[in-house]
Amino acid sequence: MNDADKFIIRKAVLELAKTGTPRFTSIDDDVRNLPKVNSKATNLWDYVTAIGAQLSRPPYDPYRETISLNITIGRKKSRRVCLNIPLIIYGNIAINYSSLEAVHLALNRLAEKGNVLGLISEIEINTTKDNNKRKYPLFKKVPFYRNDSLDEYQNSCPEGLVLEYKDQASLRMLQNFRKEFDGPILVDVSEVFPLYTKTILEEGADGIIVDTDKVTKNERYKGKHAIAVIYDARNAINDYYKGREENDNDDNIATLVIAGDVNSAGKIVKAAAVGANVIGYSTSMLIARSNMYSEKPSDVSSIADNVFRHMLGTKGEIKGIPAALGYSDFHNLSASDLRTSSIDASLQGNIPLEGGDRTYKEMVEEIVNEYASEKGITLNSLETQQVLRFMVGE
Amino acid sequence: MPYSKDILELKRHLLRAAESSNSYFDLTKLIVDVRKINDSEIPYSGLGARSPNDYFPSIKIIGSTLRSKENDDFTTYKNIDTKFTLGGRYSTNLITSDVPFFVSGMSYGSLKLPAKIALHLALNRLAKEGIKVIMNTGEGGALPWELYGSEESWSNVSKKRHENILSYADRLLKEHHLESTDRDSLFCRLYPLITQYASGRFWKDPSYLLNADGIEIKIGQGAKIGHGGLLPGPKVTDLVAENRGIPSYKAAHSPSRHLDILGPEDLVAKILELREITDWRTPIIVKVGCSRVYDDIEIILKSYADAASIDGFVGGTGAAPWELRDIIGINTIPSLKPAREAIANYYSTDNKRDEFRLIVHGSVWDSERIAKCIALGANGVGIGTGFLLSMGCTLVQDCYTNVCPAGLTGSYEKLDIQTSVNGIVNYVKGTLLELKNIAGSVGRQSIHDLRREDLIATDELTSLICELPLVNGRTFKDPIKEMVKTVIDNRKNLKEHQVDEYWRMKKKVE
Amino acid sequence: MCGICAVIMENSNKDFPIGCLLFKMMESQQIRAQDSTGVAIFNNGSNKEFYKIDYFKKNNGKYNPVTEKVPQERLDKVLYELSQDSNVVISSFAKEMNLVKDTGLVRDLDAKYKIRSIEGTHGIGHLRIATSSRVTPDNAHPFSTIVMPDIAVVHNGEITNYSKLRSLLELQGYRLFTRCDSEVIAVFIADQLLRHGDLEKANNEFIKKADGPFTYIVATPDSLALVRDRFGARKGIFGYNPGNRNYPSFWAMATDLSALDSVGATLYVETPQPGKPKIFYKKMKITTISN
Repeated sequence: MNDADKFIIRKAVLELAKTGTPRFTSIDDDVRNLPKVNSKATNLWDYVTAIGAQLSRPPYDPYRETISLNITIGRKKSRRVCLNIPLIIYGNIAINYSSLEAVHLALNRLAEKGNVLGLISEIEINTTKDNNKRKYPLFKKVPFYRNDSLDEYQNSCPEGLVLEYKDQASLRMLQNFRKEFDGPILVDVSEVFPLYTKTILEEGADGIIVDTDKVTKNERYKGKHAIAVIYDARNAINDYYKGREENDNDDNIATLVIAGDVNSAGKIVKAAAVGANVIGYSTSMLIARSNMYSEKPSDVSSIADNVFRHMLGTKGEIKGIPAALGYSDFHNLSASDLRTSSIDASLQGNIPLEGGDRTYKEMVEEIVNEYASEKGITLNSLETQQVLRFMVGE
Repeated sequence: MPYSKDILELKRHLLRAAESSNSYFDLTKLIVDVRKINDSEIPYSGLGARSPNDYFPSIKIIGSTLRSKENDDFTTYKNIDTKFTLGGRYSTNLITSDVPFFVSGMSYGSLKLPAKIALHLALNRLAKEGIKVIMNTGEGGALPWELYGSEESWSNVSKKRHENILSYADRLLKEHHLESTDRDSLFCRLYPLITQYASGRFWKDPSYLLNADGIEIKIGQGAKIGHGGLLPGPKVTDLVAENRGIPSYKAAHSPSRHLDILGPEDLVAKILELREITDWRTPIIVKVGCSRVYDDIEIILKSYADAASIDGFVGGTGAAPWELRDIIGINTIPSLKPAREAIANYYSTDNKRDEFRLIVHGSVWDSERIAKCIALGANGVGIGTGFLLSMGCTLVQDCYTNVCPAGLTGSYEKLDIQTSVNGIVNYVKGTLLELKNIAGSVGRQSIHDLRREDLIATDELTSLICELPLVNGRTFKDPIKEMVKTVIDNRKNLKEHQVDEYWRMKKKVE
Repeated sequence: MCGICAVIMENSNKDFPIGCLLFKMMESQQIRAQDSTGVAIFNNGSNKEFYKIDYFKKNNGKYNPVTEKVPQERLDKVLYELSQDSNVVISSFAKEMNLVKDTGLVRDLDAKYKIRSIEGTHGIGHLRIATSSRVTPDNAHPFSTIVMPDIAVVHNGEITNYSKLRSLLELQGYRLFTRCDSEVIAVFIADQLLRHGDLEKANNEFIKKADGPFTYIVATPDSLALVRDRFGARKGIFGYNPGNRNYPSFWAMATDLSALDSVGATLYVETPQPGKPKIFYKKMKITTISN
């Protein structure tokens, strides 16, 4: 309940509680007369929920049973990276060296306790001191203007690389790196999405990174939401794999990393259900950066503690939700677990509407077919598509 | 929630960092992150989730009024029938109430004793005035006067036990500084009581099942589907712990599922067991949260239960993990259609119509919402937050802490019991009168005669999901049918003006 | 899904009325699940020449059962044609196995198909209360698959990552005919057996890959395997009846102890460890129990 709703509800019930006699208007009348909420201000994620497990399937108990969050990044030919939590710390946020150091310390502490997460960073933390050695996988971000040589990465040995895809030159860079680097290479396609996915996967990239905040600013996705981006990215990867031989073992297929508007546990779960494999998580960077706004900035170790505790809380949340949906493995979440109360969300992510199993498109199709057979006519597929396009307003 | 200075400062810094970053952060939810930073625990919240679309305001009852005129004497529709019965499908006894709504399960522990006493006294007073309202104990066990509120219930109790029960009641009253309450008059129950059989099994006394008028097996609730009952540590006081049989001041996480009900066949076995224990007398209800509604209702129909109870995800709770509460489940209104379908399909193969009842919970606060639920197919409605509001709840949503400004779920503020009792009594009476007015103004003799045909939708989505016509008489199927016709007639691309016409019509409706 | 049961003779050189034993076990559990029922019984190679394909032909909401006997030469063609017909749901593909299933009670099934008189060396049975797919004859268990003949699976529980497993199998070209999650077990196990032939390995792979609560029994011409998920979320137990001069000894498996009681299989009663398949092999004279 937002504040306006709360006010109306309280007023209505208190009036009844005071007088014991009928009112003139109902709660719904008053809510209907409220000034229209700017629909752009409400995030489409809020209209999407997941359906839980109860009778038809039993829920698992995250406090008493093991829920797996493990995931492996890397295709057949690469040296693989294993994460215990499907998050890679990602930041389209400018932070200074000491904030990054705090994140590094926190990730080390988490890894020591068996919670291995990844980090994407262009800058590397100086780890010459033994107790500072990196215990988590680093995906080193290669600036796109860099030359093709891999030499300078040989010293620091990142577990994986991230290349930003901008143009043909990026493709050449990917080809060169693929020849020399045996760890996973993730390609950030946010600037060019949805193009080039197939080409990039064919050149042996182990996965793609899609930042929904950046993509929804592009012309092609104007007015659309992260849901559409994740759905299209998932389809692009699935299409690449149709009919290929590699698809007999989940661990070997390309990883879809989604970043952007996925910075809370609820959104992480929903994004995973729509199709993400790993989430590029920015909140840890935000926490580190927020220290800059403090009147009395804390030291690196305290900030690291904050990031550490925050991540433990997040881990608890993203374990609890799949367990309540009946899964003992986070990666078994699927789109059939989601429902939505928005036609827009149903269209963008092919999500069924609440109260049934069918998406908006399927419901319209059903009505079209029902009406057509009632009238004894047959529509060919092109004509059905025309009706659909009209209904969805394209 | 009275957050500490450190937490508020953290939040302020986080807010500034988020506002100046390029990434999207939900600024209203930053407090969740701050709480995780503070203690690395999963943050809880109280009451219901916020759904940006809960359908109720998009439905209108054609021609209904809550009140006909300024000096209405409220007797015009006084003979409208609003009774509700439950049971009889497999049980020999029936529960009858004079209103089609009742108090949803709110446990002792989650609610403090003064609030529970207020509800008890209010329902007694209403019963004396001829309005019986059903109460549900919630999962934390029953209070002694709820189980032993009649002569009959004492008949099998030994003298020693009788004394123990009364002294326990004294201790309860003393703990909450309510010694002045007349204990003996408290031991009187004039309203029907349903006890809740939840996964935590928080009771120690067979009378919990034997002295109840109904038993509700709680498989799940809307606010935390798939997650067991939850009472945070600070709220498990010594007496709450004693009532439930658990250690005090330790968080009580009930199991996510009944350890002996893992699937539909186990539910059948459990219900048959309860029937044996209660001699087939007591009506049994099964409560689930709204998620896979069709499948769950289908299972409940086959399991020898008398009624099914579904709870929308916006339903309230004392404590639930914040994110889990907000994202799991579906709304109350869309659940009614699959529930009704499951019931209709089940009875389509047999020709009999029996006494199976469908009860609905989840953000139903006033009479108009109750009427809409009944028109869409519910037989009865459970109200939780509405009763809290009538006692003075301020919707702060801190129920999981021990700090409640209204004194309902926390120990620090004092609840004025008499005012609360008056509030509840007035709320029930006012709602009852409104229900009669709604049914009467639509021309029905009973509230249960309201039908889907009495409703219209004001937006396309509600029209589609509930299969209701729109305000201007059209249905969601009409534009589709027209477009099919156009496509057939032209068999080529759509004409421009038809596209414009459709969007103009759509804008008029919204 | 609700009640599963199975029986395997200890000395399998001669057929025995397995159907009768299964009937008894299922009757004892009937009150718990009444939507649909089915059995699959294996006998000692009575028919080695033809393949038997049973399928339901949908017509106006009715499911008409059809049986076709097909020689080896025509097999691929017939299977292909049947798969292309959207009104056909193949319910059994067998040489040695006799699989019958339908909606309703087990005594109705017996009246229609005389299951009490079916003889064999081992068999499985199932009583269903639907959890997530509709109550129609094609959604009854046991499930068989056209990937390999003579594989039958009965299942109690739910495979929660059903859609993921299903798309994995479909991507490899396998055909699934129903929307019931139990079918995926049969296809998965058959696919594994094609790759390496080891039933224990096949079941271990499935336990690793599948999510959700399940106990299932998979039957092949020479074995039965009782498998529980890693958490042991659904019951499953087995017991032994030493037999007497009227009837031979056998092992029985079921969801509930009372089913074992109904056929006197009350010795060596045990429940298999969650996550470890318990396999019963049928050798000519002796039955070997693995792990």
